Parts: sequence; structure tokens; C-alpha cells
Amino acid sequence: MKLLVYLVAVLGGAALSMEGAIAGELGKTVGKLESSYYIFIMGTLILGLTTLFAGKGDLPYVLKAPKWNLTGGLLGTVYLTILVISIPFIGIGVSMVAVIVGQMITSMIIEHFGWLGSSKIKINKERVMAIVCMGIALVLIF
Amino acid sequence: MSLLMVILTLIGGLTLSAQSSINGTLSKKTGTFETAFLTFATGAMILTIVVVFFGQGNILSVFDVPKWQLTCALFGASYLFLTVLAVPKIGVTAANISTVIGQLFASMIIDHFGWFGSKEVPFDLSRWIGVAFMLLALYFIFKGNKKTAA
Repeated sequence: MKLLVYLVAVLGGAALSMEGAIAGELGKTVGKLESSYYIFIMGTLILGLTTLFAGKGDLPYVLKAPKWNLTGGLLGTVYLTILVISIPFIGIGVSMVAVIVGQMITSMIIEHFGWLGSSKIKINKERVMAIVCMGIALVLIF
Repeated sequence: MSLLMVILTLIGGLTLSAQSSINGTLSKKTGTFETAFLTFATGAMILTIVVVFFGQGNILSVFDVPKWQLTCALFGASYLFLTVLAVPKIGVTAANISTVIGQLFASMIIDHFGWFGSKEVPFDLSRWIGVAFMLLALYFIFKGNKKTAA
């Protein structure tokens, strides 16, 4: 059952690649910032409709939630802006590897200390092995 | 300069991890669709301001491009929704590593066939071995998490 959730996340990653590849083409015509903007506007509409019809949660809770819980959108745009700045300098390959390395290391640190409301999972032998394997994979792929 | 850019991009990875963790926390009370919606809605608000001041392209040309190029929004929304779904169940590290694996695998397929105007890069032996190592990484994360849960 848990394994299915891993598959869901793998699918999410595949969707991210499709997004990037297609948005790159769109960006050539409309502009880089504008293509991100289009994605956020259209995504808001799609998710707004799905929330209305399929949402089972409690949207008004966002008014009561601690404010730092609401920074997901801001962080997403910070990420996009950083990529727009860095890719012309260091290229897409190095940028992707740096993002992935940064992501893997910080997510382990976040969980190790249980920051940002995550359940505490200490760094263990398996996690270090996983990072090493990912490092080797990145070298082989790029 | 280059080193500075690499460090900046590492910080980019950090913002993604923080986003996944924060969204995972919010979704426990707000719901999965609701959290994905809020992330997109606030992101759209911020980008509206950014595009007005710094945009150099032409947003209105979205009406003229081939329609398939507009599907990127659907993929973007799917990514965020699926991540918000996965993080509370398996944790942010496992979710991130799984996402990265899906991302790399799909990029290699896109490269192999040269889809979406990308340069054709064949799926060669070293890429296959890379895939094997990624699966091994996934196995380690899965095993490590199982041990912690037990």
C-alpha cells in the first residue's frame, strides 16, 4: 500500500518533466516569466474547479492556519525565479543537478529535526546509501 | 560567478523541499486539492506583480501558440497535487527522491525521442545503469522508512 504512494510521487516527477519540456517550448513564444505566469493562472483555474467539485478538505482553515503554512506559493515562485537567473549562467544540466542535490540534502535535514511540521525521521544508514546511489546515478546520467 | 550561481541553485532546491514540507503540513488540515489550489493561487498573485514589472514577453500570445503547448499547466498542477498527496504519507525525503527519479526517467525518455523540440539524446548504457542506481536509492529509502515506522 505504501509502495503505491511512492509510485504516485514518481508519477508526479514525470509530470514535472513534461511540464518543464513543454513550458520551455511555450516560453520561446510568450517569454519565460510569462509561461510560468500562464501555468500558475491556468493551474489556479484547474485546481479551483477540482477543489469546488472534488475537494473534501476545509479550505476556510487557511484563514486560521499559522501564516508560515501559507508560503508554499511564494517558495514556488522563488524557485522559478532562481532557475530563470541561473540557467543562462551554468546551463540546464548543472542547474538540475544542483537543484536535486539541494533538495535531497535539505529534505533529510528538515525531517531529521522534524522542522516545518514534518514527522521526525532521523538520518540513518539507508538514507545515506540512498544519497550515494542518487549521486552515482546523476553522474551516469549527465 | 559560476560557483555563486551553483550555490543559488542549491538554494533553489532548498525552497522546493521547504515548499513540499510546508504544503504537507497544511494539507493535513486543509485537504490535498485545497492546498494545491492555495499554492497556485498565491503563486499566481505574486507572478502577476512580477510579470507586470519585469515581463519582457507577450502573455497574450498564449492564444496563438499550438494548443498542445498549453498542456504544461495541467502537468504542473498534477505535479503539485501528487506531491501534496504523497508527502504526509511517506515523508518529504522519500517523496522528493521518488519525484526526482520520475523526473529524471521521464526526461531521459523525452530526450531519447527528441519530443517537444528537445535535442535527441539516446538512452545509452550509462543512462540505464543510472536508472538501476536510482531504483537502488528508492529501495534504500523505502527500507529505511519501514525500519523507522516499525
